[in-house]
Amino acid sequence: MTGDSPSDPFRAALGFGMLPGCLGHAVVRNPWFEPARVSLRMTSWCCQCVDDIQTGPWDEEAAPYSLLEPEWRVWRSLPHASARRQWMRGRVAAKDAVRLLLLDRYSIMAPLETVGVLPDLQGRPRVTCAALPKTSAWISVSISHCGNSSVALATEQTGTGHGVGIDVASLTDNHEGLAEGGFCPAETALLEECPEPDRPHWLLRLWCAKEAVAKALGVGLKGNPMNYRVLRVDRPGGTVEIQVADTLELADPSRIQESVTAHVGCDRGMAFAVAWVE
Amino acid sequence: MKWPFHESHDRTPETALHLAMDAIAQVSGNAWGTVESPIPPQAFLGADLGLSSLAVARLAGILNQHGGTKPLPFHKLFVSPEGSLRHDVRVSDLAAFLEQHRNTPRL
Repeated sequence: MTGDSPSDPFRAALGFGMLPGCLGHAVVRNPWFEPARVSLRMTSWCCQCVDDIQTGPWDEEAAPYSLLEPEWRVWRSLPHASARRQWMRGRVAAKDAVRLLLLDRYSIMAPLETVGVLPDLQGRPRVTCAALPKTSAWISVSISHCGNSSVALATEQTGTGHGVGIDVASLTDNHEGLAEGGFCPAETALLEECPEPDRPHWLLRLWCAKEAVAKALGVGLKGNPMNYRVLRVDRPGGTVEIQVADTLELADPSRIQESVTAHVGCDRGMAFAVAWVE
Repeated sequence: MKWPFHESHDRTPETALHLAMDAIAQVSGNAWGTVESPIPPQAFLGADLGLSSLAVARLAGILNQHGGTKPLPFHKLFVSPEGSLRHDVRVSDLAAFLEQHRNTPRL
């Protein structure tokens, strides 16, 4: 893993900055090291894509240069301009994360438009790339949105059906009602053990932990956050243990023991959580 | 927070729709969707209003705080009458859910 420095050779090699076709629009792309750093068990790369809310329809200008045709069809089918822009931001972040991973692991320089990130039948992003080496490993990617920022985490994985999950939430937005609507009384009791000044941030970390585990398992929250229950919180270690309801239909339930660990933190004005299931 | 129906025992469809719309307006501040006023009853919470799962959880929390003496069974909102999971629901579905499950408000 390299440091977060302007002279980073990966960033220089990939020419992060101007998005093709986006001349004059404020779209900023860069690696985000903190979420990747907490998951030291494997090689993973995280990237962020932020746009200026006042900027014009940059996604329409970037689409021909950044999307594969199947992606372009999905993007065009979205009914609202703001939804299309969010979707495009997420694709750009995901493609950048995959490109960094390919460069890091295989020394492959993959242009943005050669990496495809398309939803599967469950809505989970799947990576396609003609340059992907023929190995038993596959690339798992997860995307999350927060305001005008999208982030994506990509990792190489050898397991069976599950993968990686990331979730982010703004530290400054209003989150009234989240403790009551997203957590059961046993979970809020764990939250109340956190020191008062840090409690709002821990509330978001715990929420992100649920979402990250749900994404890693590839099944989502299924409309009920109580399907994912916070069992333990290790504040010094920055981990949260999440118990998964046995009613969920998982690709490989044998991979889940008592709980799944999510690594949590706060950085760049956001709470984040990262989880993976082999 | 102002809550116009805080002490209302009214369970009419109109009241339930107002409850839903008022709560949606409170949680939609961070969403990307264009929240029209009034919010169209046929709009989907996710696809049209841009509510994230975090926003929907907040919605559940806010409605629970004012919904009555017992917690609302929000997990049922995303289950269709046939028993299958719904990935998105309309504002009118939420209103119908409130009309069905809302009980005596907490005072």
